[in-house]
Amino acid sequence: MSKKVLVVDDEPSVVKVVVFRLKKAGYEVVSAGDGESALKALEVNKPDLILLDIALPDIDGYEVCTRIKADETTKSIPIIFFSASTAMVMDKNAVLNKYGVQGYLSKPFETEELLQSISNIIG
Amino acid sequence: MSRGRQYFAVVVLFVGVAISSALFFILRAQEDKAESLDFNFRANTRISDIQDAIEDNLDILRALGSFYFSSQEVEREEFRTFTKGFIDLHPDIEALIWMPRVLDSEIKNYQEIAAKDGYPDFKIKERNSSGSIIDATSRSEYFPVYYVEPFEENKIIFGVDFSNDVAHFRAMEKAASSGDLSATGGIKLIRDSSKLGCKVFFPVYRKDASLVTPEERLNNLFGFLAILFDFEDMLSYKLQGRPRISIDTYLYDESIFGEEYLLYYHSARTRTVKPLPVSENDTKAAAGLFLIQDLRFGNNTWRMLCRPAPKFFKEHKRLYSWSVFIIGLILTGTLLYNLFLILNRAARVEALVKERTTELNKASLELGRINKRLEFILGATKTGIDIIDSDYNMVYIDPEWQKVYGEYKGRKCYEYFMGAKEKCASCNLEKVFSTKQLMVSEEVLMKENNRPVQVISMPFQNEEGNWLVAEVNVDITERKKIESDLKNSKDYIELLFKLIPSAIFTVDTNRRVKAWNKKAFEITGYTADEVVGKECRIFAEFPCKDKCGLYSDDVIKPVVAKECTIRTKDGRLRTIEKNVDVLKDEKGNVVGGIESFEDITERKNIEEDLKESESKFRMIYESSYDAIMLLNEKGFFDCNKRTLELFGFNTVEEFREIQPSDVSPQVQPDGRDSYTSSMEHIQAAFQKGTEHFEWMHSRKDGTNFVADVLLSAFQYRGKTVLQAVVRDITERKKAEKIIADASREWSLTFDSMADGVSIHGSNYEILNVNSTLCKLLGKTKEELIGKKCYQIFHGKNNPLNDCPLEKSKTTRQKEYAEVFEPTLDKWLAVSVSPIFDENGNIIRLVHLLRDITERKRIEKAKDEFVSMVSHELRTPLTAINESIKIVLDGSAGSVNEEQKDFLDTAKNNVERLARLINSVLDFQRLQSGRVEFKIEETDINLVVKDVASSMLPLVKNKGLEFNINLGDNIPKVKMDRDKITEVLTNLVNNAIKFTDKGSISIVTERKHDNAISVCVRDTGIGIKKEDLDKLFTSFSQVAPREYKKTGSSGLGLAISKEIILKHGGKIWVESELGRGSAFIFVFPIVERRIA
Repeated sequence: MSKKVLVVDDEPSVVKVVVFRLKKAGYEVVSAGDGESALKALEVNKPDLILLDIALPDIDGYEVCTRIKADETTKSIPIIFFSASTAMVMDKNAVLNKYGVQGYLSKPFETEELLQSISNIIG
Repeated sequence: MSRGRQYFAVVVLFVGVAISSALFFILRAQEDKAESLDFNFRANTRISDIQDAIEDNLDILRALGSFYFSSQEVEREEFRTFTKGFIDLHPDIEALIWMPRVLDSEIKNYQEIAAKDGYPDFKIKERNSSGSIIDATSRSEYFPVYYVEPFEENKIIFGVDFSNDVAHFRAMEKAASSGDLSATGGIKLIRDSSKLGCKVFFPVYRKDASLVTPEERLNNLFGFLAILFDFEDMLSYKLQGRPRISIDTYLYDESIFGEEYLLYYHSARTRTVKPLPVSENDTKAAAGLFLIQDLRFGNNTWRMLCRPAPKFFKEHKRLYSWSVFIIGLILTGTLLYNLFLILNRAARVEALVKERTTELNKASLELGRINKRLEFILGATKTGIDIIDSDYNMVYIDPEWQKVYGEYKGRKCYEYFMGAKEKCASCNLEKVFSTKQLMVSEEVLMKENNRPVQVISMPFQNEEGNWLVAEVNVDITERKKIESDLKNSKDYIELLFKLIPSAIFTVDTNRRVKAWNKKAFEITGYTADEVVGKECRIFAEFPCKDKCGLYSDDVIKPVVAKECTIRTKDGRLRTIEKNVDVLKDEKGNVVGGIESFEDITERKNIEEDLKESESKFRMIYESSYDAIMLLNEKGFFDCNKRTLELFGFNTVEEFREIQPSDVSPQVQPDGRDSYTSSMEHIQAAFQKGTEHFEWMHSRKDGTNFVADVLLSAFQYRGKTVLQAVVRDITERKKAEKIIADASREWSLTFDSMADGVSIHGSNYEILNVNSTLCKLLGKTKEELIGKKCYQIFHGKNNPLNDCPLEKSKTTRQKEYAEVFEPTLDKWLAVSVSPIFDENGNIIRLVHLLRDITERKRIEKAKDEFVSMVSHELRTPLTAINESIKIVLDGSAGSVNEEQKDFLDTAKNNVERLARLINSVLDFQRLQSGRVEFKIEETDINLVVKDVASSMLPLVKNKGLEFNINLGDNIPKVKMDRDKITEVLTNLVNNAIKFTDKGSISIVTERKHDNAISVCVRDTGIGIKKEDLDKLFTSFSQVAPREYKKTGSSGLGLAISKEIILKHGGKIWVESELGRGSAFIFVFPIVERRIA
């Protein structure tokens, strides 16, 4: 059975290319365009990994992450932050530890990097 | 007995004795020679042993001296370690000592160090006159025993300052002033006063001090090293295992006068100390065999003297010579004995005849003696003669006395002369009668007003055989009187000696003090007990003999009012004036000398002060810059040289008797008549004592000048006169105007500055503010001046630690900070610079405030704008980039070669755009200080090697040479390795880009000890001069059109510059168009101090 990845990003074109890449790599992919719909999607369908953009239009990625980690049913799902902001580069490890997330991917990304960091976590 | 036979006997005796003696002396001379050779051999061995022993120990002291010379600050533990080696090797060393020069103010410091070393009880001590150790009396400096090794054996002297002892003081002073070794004489050891020892001092001076003159050496003295000898221990250690050689050994210090000259005596026989004469002549006169050797070092000469002990002679018995002599005598004796047997009989007859003759001679001699007595009696009658029989009856009295005493017949002598009823108690007549001997006595004749007489009582027999006594009475009134006078004058002299206000002492011919009065004690500090018996030079400043009447026979005596210098017991120098004369006995032989002296030190000082102040006054008067003149009611009567110069006169005579108004213009600047005005001032000066005013003067040539005039009245030869001090203040007036103008200029400038400026005292007080600051703070000058800056700027009661003003006080440099001030709702740039006085102390701090709120706002807006733009650009870029890649790698269906080529172009440009955005973000982060640097000590050569190896393929690819030249001796410096790699990579990339042929080189080297430099050089196209300045600014591309290839953001050098600046370094370029460029950056080497 193929692993399931939830891609959360408000930029449809980014969602489109990422989803394409992951499907090609053999993952089952669902996507959400904002924080609320991402959380809603989690109620229905638990993914094996979440690729989470930080700059979301409603509630930001940090908040979404905090809520996921606060929920007993979802807190074990690994999360990779996905961002065009450079702010995180400075203290990457501190942020990862703070939110209990497994990885960080900056935009624009290299295709190999994207696939590698996901397969490292869920195979 | 025949005369011929007698002569024969004598001849036999003579020949026999002569032959025996001759043989004896020949043999004896040979034995003497052998003995003397043996003695010299033994004595030389002994002397060289002693010399070795002493030299060994002196060498140790010198070695210790070198140790101090090379490392002046020697700690106790170092001293202990250093000396331990010597002490282990030479167990005979009594002590090695370090005595620093300790000023009174430093005692506490030395006690603290001693406490740290484990001696919390360290105290400076000294020995009092009875030899016991007490706490040191206060003085300006001490030389305590501070380190002493071996410590346990010598801890009794730890802390003791010996310099109050004359022997020590003398040696220490000599050592210090000469810079060489100096020894005390023989001194009793503290731990065993039966033993004699000696200290040798070695002076240690401050490092790098000039030591040419004795004064410099004394001033720069740092302390003394000393070694303590116990000669007995030292030599018995040194002479261990040597055979006993029956030689007595003496060691004297020839350079010491006084009792301490004997250092050591080693007797082969008795082991008692027994000093012998010191001088060579004395020694020759006193002994047969001896050997003398001098040992010289530093200021001392030690004389070693060896003499044979009695045992030595026992070992050299002269049996051979003596036995020959005795056998010779025995043979002669036997021969003579036989001769005498023959001659004996005749001799007896001769003896009998001689006996008779002697008896006859004796009888006639006795007869002559009696006659002589009678002659004496008769000759002496003038002085009064009487004869008394054995019952005290008067038998005769001469007529002169009969006149005084009356008829004598039938009277007893005691009644006749003394009017007594019984014989006098003192009478010796009875004794004269019983012994029949002449007696002499003294009597007083009471009847003649107690006239003293000497009575010579002579017994004799008259014709009937009765014994009588003749008394000759010699008048001794004169003699008694002289005797009494003599006694009185002796008492008188003793009284004078005590009462005379001068110091007086007498000496014998060896200049040893015999008498010493109280005043002498008061001046010198030596009591009579301390000096009597010692040589007078004990208190005289050496050398005294040149001026001393007691010393030199050449000095004409009496010496009167001679000035000399003496040293008191506590070491002070005093000037004395002395009179000296010799003392003679009644025969006129010189038996000593007498000296009286007075302390004239104070008088001398006062005389000199007086002379000095007189000449000072004269000098001030004549060399004064001010014109000084004296005036009375007639006008000026004296003036100094400056007056003549000032007014243009040639001589004082010319200036005399003119009026002040003669050297003034007609009217003063205030419009008043000069004559009237000057008279008013003079009147005022006479009344008030002084008058001070400004005055327009005129010179002889008619030119005017403004002067400051001070008139003072004083008494001169019974009259009140005025002294006028006139100073030309034209220049001062000019200067005052310049200052006033400058001050106006400054205050205008100050207030019109755009920055708010305040000037602070180093105590934070605000001394001045400009109006810009008042406006900025919304306060008036009066509200600010006098307040503390922390009250005004921070609303605090104490200064803030991180305030630039506080920092500037410690760094002594300009300090700068940008702060947000919430009370003003403003960003302020604060800059503080210290102002120093001529000694380098901070006296003022200039505090500048600039309102940078607007600049801050713009900067912030720019930052936000750049981040936002970058972020917004990156998101679409991600989608574009990934989309192209999906198509390009065939994931979305196959593409043909031409499509692929276009997609590649699109992909490259997207990547370039991404790099450009990243560069902009990097640069912006660097500028706004949001980048953290990982600073570590790094070897720059390793960084260069890494970059070189990663760039090598690119360089080779372009067909260029690549030279790496790494400097030696480059220390590690603190840097962020990744950032510097980025800079280097950037520079090499640029070099590759702009170089088509030739080479690229990287050179590292150390510069001026405080920086390292890295240079990247190429042989490329070079840079135009006018472009050099723009090179490091952002978004500048100065390359020619054909070199503008893809991928360049125009930010590479700007980022490099930011990185190097953040490291505290500098980057620049040197270039020649068409020849190549060199990019150079330097780092400071941060000093690593060895803790």
